[in-house]
Amino acid sequence: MEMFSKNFNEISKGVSSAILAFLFLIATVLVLINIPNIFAQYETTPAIMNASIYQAVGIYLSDYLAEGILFTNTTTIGIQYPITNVNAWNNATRNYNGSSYGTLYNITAWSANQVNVTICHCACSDLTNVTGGNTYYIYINGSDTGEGVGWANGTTSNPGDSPSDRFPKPLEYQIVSGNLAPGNATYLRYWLNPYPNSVPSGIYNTTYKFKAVEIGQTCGICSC
Amino acid sequence: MKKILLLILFFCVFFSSSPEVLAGVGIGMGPPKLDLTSVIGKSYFLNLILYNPGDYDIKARVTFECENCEEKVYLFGWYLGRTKEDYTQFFNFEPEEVYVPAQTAPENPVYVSLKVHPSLFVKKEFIISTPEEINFLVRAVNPSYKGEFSIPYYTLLLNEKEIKGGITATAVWSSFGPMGAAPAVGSYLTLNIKGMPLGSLILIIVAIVIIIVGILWKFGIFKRLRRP
Repeated sequence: MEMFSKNFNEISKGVSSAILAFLFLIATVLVLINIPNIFAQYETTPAIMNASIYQAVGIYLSDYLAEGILFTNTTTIGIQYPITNVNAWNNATRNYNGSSYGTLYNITAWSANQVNVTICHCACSDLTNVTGGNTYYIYINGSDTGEGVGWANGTTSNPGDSPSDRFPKPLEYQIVSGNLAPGNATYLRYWLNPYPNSVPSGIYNTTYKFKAVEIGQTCGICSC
Repeated sequence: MKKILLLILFFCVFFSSSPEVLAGVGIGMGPPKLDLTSVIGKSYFLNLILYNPGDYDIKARVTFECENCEEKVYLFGWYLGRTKEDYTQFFNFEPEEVYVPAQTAPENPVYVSLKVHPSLFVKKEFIISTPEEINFLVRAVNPSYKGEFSIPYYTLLLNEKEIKGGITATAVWSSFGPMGAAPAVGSYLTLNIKGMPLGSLILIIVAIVIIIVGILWKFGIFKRLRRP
């Protein structure tokens, strides 16, 4: 009996010291966890800080520019006729089709833009005609002869009466407006002096693209 | 007199609505510049926002033109060919084509996700251009041969890698009708990917060598090799 009580005492001592150690451990953990709160009693609950950032670059083409550049002869306005003089600068139909003979080709930088933009254009191919299984080209850039597709730009609807630049070769970007502020427009006129002059009669066409980037950036690689 | 005034008013209103006031076909995208970083194995996405300042609905296609995904390969100054890697193994756009209604403003934009998912293994292609003398002979067998062939291979993405290029959103369709000219907007992307450090690769190789040597030692391979 005495032996049993001795053992029981030892066991109870062990258990009680284990419980004590456990409680001490919990107390220590609680104190450590609460230390920051002891020194920051006046902190409020975290509030949310939130912002929605809006940045964009946008442009829109006038209806007549989106329709495409349709070349006519040297004298007609507004209607497309076949080109008969292949040694002259032939007009695009909307070059002088606006009020006071202004151009109807324009690109506008969106008024909601946050930055000024650079606008470039590129053609997807030369003007192409497939006839009888053969493909014929009118080069948009007749670089050797100064012929091809010419254009002029300006800030009013009368940007000039003759080309100040030539289109670059297909799939090469060229700047048409280097620094266009939000809400402003660039007005354009186009002419075609066909090269080579000996191409067969027919319809020659291609598509082209306008691209706007933030000022200071390059227009990159043209892919159609 | 009233009728004449009404007639004048009608003509004034009629002629004031000249074609120049039409807004046309438009497109917008944000942000105009993106500088991103990523680590191999870590995937995430962020949104490109598409707008439409024009008066016509459009379908916009988002593409990426990589500036540094191709490298020329020389051996002792001789041009051998070029290596090419597909950017879609690092990131892609979802969806690539979206419908953007007319007058879509910042309050209700259309989103395209740019999903970044770089992995340790990078697939590349080694493109070898063959001389025209050989091309002529090959075309006798394969008329569609374009004068070059490619060998695919895999490498590890070690240290850091930078991918640069332009993101372009192009209006490929419009309710305006057939378009002769397509408007597009561009954004510039720089993506820095942190790959496996070269030191880690060396450490792994050393560890593998030690393990192999250990296994060989355990099985007594070296002792057997020493015996005459």
